Amino acid sequence: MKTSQAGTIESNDTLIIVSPSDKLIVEISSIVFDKFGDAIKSVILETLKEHDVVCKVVVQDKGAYDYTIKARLTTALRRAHNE
Amino acid sequence: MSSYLFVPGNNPGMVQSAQVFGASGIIYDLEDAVSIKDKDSARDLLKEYLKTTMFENVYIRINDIFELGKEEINTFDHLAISGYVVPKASVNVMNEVKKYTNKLLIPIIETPEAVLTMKEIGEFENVSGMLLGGEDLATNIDVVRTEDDIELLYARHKLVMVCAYLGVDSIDTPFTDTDNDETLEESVKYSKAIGMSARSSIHPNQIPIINEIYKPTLEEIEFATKVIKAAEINDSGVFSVDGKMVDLPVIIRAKNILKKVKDYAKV
Repeated sequence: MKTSQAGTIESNDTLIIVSPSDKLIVEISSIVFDKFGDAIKSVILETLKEHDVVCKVVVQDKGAYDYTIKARLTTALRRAHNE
Repeated sequence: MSSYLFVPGNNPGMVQSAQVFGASGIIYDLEDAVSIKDKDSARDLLKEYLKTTMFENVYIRINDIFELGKEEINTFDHLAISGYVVPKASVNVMNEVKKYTNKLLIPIIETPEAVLTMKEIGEFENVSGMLLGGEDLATNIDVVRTEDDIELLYARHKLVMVCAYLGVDSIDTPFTDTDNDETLEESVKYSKAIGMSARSSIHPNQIPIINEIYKPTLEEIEFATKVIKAAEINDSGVFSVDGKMVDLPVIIRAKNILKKVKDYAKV
């Protein structure tokens, strides 16, 4: 696994950076953190579990819906393993 | 179907708001609107989005079937989409696409070969319409696009005839100057006048203009209603409505207008 990213910091999107780590680390900054921080973390954790991956995830969220967060993390993980 | 809106497949804001602009069909674009480095990202985004929604008349413009297109069809074919818009269509390309899907197909006519073999392309099973790709076609015949589209004259008119013959939608090329509503109106009126059944667009602001021009007018609806009522009580093949002769072709046009009214009511 290598450090990779997917997404953007445009409105409605989220930039996700994944990097190698022995333990699970999730760092989230979001314009809607107070209201949706837990929900964002939940999507991240569920998606990591689906892919059976332990790594560091840094999220810069600009109001993305759940499907976008899941998609961007999926892309970042594939890039981390394929490229 | 009078308007199709192209939506960039890697932009979540546009992807999730595409349905609110009143287009009768949405084409999520994985081809020209997505950079090479983001093809994977767009595919993941659309896949996750389409799992959460269910709309009618949603198509995906795939990439070249001999490159990323096959993988894209495999990704989306189990989801609730209407079908695929197929770039660089040819008989060879359609044969390949048909190996992987039974969903509806809208081939893009954008090469000289496609113009010359339009009928054969349109005859493939599940083709619901054909779309003129004006920009690529102009490039492929080495001419510059003009405001009045004179360089597309032959391809446009041929598309109308072939699609009418095959009973599928003829979809005109997008009007790419998004800051020129006046010329857009003239261009869409021309599309309608020559028999194009729909116009495609790359900007949501163009959709209300396209829909308004394609929508049957009040006068057309009133006359069509009178024709249908008169036809119901007239046994003879020819009769008169408002001083105009009505025969079978006029009755068929009247039925088509009233069908369009119902279609617009759905949108």
